[in-house]
Amino acid sequence: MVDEAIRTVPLICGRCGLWMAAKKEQVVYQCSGCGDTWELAQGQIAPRKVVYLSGNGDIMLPFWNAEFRIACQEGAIADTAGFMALCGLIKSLDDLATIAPQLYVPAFALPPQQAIRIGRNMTVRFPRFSESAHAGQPFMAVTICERDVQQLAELIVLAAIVEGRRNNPDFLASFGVELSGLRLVAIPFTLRGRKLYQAQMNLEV
Amino acid sequence: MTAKCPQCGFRADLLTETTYHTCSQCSAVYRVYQGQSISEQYFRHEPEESLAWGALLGFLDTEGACAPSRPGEIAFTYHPFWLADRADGSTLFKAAVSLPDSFQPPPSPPAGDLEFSKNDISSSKSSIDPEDAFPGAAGLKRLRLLQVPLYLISYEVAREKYQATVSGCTWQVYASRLPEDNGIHISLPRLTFLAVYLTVLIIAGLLAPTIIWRFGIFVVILLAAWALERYGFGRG
Amino acid sequence: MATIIFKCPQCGGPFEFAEGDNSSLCRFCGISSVITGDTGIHRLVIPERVDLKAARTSVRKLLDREAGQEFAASFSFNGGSLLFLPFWRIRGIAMGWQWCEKETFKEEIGYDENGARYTRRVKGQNERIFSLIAKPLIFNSPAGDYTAFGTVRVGLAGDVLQCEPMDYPAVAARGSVIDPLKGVAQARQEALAMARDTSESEGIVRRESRVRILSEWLALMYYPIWNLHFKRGDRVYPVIVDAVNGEVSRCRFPREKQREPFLPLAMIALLVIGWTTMPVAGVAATILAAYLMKYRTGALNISAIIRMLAEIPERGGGVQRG
Repeated sequence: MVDEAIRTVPLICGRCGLWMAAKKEQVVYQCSGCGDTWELAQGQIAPRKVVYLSGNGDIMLPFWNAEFRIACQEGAIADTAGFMALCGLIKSLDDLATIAPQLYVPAFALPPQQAIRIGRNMTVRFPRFSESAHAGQPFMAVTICERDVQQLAELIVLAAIVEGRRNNPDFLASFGVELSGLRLVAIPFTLRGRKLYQAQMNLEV
Repeated sequence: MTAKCPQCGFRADLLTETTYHTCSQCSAVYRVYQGQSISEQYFRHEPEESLAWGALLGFLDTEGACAPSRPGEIAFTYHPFWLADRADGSTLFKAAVSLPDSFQPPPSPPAGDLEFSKNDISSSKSSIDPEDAFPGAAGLKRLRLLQVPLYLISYEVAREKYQATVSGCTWQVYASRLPEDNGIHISLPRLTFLAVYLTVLIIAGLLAPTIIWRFGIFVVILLAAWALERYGFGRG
Repeated sequence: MATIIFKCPQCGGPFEFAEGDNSSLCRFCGISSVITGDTGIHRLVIPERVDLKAARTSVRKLLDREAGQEFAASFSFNGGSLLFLPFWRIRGIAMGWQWCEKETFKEEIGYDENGARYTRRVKGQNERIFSLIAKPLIFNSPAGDYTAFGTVRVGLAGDVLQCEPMDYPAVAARGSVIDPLKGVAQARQEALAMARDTSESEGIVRRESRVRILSEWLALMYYPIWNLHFKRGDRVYPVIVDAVNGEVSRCRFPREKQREPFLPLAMIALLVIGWTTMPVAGVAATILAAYLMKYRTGALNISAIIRMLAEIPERGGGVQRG
């Protein structure tokens, strides 16, 4: 039986033709010349859109961002108010209450437990970002690919839910997360000592 | 009804579901069952009956069983087996057609080089539907019909008939029972040798005048017999 | 970790990828390339390091070492072929959650009617524990039933040796490429079962989990073995030799120990000399012969006596692997 063999694909920018540099575990590649971003899809280099979000900071960290809804024994929870109730949070939501909650999954290299913790902290802070006019800035290497986001999303949402719910096997058996509008975003952080800080979320990485 | 060739992916319009079809693009033979294209593949094998017989004898030898004194009947065939992947990832393997008499089928799919069957390859067609082969097995996917090269050997030991199946892929032997080696048979030359030896000893023992003479004659006869045996006399 | 050697698309120099890497840099010209496989599966082959002659020699040396030159010389080579066995190889991070319900016990102190103190173990309320699983995963599994081929150390070889991309026509020209019969779904199930398996099972009454493989690097690695046949008379004995390290993985060469011809002849002579001298001597000779028989053959029955007289060789021992 004949199968297609393993092969290499040159990492060349499809727009300007420059060779792109990449780390070994990287899955999204950025051209240093024109700033365009690419990924490997179906055996070829294909464009990958990255949305740059506004904020103070000169170090761009990549995140996977999507709206999500939770399926559980109580039914589907598709708004922020319902999610907050599951998390046991008391917070003034204003106009956020009825809109779908937003999930943030770190897309750069982190120890798994830390990635879940940061994703959880960002998700429950309900940050509001607008798109930046400045695109093409270099961002930290993306090492988490799109197909892995679903599993991380479930773990991040579970990490946010109160312990009493998490320890209920019936809740866990029916639990699921559905994502929509998944996109790769770059969020600006500033260097503060040896850590990176995001002012809008008051979050340290 | 449209069916997709499992080898090349070419979609063909078919009139019936259960007949064997030959792909017009790649000549692969397949059938359609409940809307699923079932590929038929065979293990590449050059028949070699002498090797199969030798493998059986070697197997009987290693198992300490009695070997047949003359060659048995060997029938080589490509026998169809269903191989199904379950939804949970495990596999099911079963003969699509029962093996004749009391021949044992291989319990698991053998390792071998597979090729898609073509019309010119002689192979026995399946007479069992997958549902009959795997009753109650829900969630079967990726059904395949594998033509496994088997040697069906019938042989005789001590006037009793035995059957063994030898896999052409791995030369493994499958048999439900083996001829036991109870070993209580003496060949004629050996029996003759022992009888002559015993007779000479008895005559010498009865005719020797004293015990010393008897002992001396017996030592001579014993050494002579031992020397003859070392040179191959009296071996069956 | 397996290392895969390619040719650089720019300069043609040898280009190394480590297992699990998505991209690599050419040491000579400095360009980067990404690696891709058929539907996400990287097909690799470990080239054979042992040729047919060396494989045959390995078998002879084993027989010679374990059973002697005469035994080794009684077998003749009867042909063989090179096989490439596929193994699933999965690397990644097993991530998910696990929930378990565990029995708890506490020690209760009490006093009996005599005032003596005693402690007893009392079952408490079951404890429910939720935990996240995140651990590296390296998994090897045969892509079919290879029990006929003995133990193949693909895991160790894959970690240490260099692999090549699978070029089916080139490899098929050297030997038979065995097709995988176990699907990738089953291999993943096994890998996840291994990731989920915990040594602590005492007191666990219920366990639920949901684990998936992240940053999955999936490969089908072909491992070479020699499938040889040796003959003795009209009997054929299959032998499997590892074509990477030259070790005999599986063989069964039975030994037939020829009986010493002197003993049965001496026992017959002893019996005749005893019984032709006097009955008491005959009885003594019979007892002595029975003792010798038991001592040398371990059994004293009609079957053993006939086997000894008929010089039917003793079976057992031999050389066996796998």
